[in-house]
Amino acid sequence: VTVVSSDEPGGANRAVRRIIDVLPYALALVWTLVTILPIIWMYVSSLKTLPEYNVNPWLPPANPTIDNYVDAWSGQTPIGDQRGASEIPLPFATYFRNSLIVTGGSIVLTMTIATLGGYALARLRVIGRRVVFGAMLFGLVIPTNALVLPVWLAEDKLHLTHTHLGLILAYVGTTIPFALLLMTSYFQSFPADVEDSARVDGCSELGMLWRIVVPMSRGPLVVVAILLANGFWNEFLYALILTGTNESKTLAVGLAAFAGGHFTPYTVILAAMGISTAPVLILYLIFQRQVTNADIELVR
Amino acid sequence: MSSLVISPRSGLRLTRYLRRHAFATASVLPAVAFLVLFIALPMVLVVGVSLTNWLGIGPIQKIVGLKNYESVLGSGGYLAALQITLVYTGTLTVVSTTFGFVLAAMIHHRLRGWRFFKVSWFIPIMLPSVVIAILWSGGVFATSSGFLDSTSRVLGLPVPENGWLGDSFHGQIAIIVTAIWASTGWPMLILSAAMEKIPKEFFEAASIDGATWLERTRFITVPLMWPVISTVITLQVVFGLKAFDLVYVMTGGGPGTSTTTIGMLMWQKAIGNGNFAVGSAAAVLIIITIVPLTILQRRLTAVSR
Repeated sequence: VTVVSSDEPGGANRAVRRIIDVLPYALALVWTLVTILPIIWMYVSSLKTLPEYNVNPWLPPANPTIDNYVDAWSGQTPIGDQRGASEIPLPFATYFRNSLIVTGGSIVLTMTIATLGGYALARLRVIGRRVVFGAMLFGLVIPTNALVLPVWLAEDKLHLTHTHLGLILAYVGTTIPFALLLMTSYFQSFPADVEDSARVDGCSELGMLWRIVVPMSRGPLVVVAILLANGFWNEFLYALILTGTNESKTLAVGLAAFAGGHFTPYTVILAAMGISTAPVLILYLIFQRQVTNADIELVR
Repeated sequence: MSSLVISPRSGLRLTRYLRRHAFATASVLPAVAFLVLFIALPMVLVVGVSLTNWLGIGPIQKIVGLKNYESVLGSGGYLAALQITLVYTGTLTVVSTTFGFVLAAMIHHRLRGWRFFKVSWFIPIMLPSVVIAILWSGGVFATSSGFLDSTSRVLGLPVPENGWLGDSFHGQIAIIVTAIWASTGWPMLILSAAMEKIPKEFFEAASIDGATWLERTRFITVPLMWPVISTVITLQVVFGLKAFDLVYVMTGGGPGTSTTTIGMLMWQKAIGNGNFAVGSAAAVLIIITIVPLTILQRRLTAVSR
């Protein structure tokens, strides 16, 4: 064993080199723990009873229980230790269904409209093409959060507030400039010779889009759909203002109201958070490779 | 146009013109309709309502001109909220873009396990902002049971007298820290994609010349990636300026008005105080503030390229 004393220049260099080699790993590990530990902690703690959580918020539960999930799902929120004693039920089953309908409907509408319009703008002769482009770029710069009040006003007059349709239309409307420009730039980079050969075979424009271009673009379209799903599922401000009734609230709004209750046990809130997070988290973990390898160039 | 219809030859040309363009134009119409109904029209509407004294129910009573703007800009606290928003946005943008760049560099370096790291680092982006807010206010910043208080107790460190969300200084920092955690995944992912596209030869040549990592970053990576970096900065600035969800859930804008961002202020005026017209004036001010900032910021980063 050779011992290198630290005052020798070689030894000092080696120590510095060591640190430089190890530093990136240390940083990467620290940031990984910072990002995933809170989520793991959320799910682990949601399996504890409130008394156990109060004594031991950091270690895994001795007797894991799904009672918190049952309580949150049914909306029979306990007060303190008493289960089933809540006066206003806040049922996460309802919120979950609402979020599912609103997110699903918004994705289908946005993707259909943006694919059709983006393809036409990129490939076909649209009358007033430059005007449409200018208008969409303008829409992209406008902070749509600041338009929630007039949108509420218009939808209230049309009796669209507190409905799934009202929220879906607002989501599609505020997302369309982004989605359309994204799809346009995607189709501009799509190889034109594929379409040329289809055109020779006598395919109509619409038939070509749905039967050839869209199936060939499945990968990028899935990534866009997942990012849209994430945005719609998590959206808060529009849902807060457009859906006031217990029957129409989405998960984000229901959760905020739930957590604001003074007597709601934190463990049941954690279960409600777990319910709200699970669908997007699972979707992401299934498609993680497509999402993290996506070549995202345009604005989100 | 009329001459086109009269002459049979041009009539034919018109039909052909229409047939060629009709499908294409019709395909874009739904998108244009949504833009008009949910962005253009609401903009007209919000300006109109902001000039009245309408509270949100019943018929509109009278037009008051710019009175609502005076009140929002004066005692209404818009300028204070703007200052809070700008500090929040500036800090968030600088820190999250820098973090994102360093994380992207580690992926580019092909650190062992980089795929796992990349997937983990993007996870916070997928979480609902309300969940993130409750996770941090209840799990990290909560008095006595929270992570910070528990850790401080063990280590014997002092904690803020009124809790981590209980005074303006700590409250602002807590929200910024939460926002950095919530949003760093985007800069990481976008910068990582851009870094992968830099030709390897650039780095190899520089390494042979004996350039250190910092020199390579300063003279190769950053200049080549500048267009993408500027896009990321724009994204983070826009994300920061529209701050609402975290503030609403974590502090409600308080204590006092110390964490009231412009988005929060709009909500407080229109819904909290039940004055729709004043809230609309705040909304118009938000648009007037954000649009030039977004455009200017794009210009600035484009020029300094």
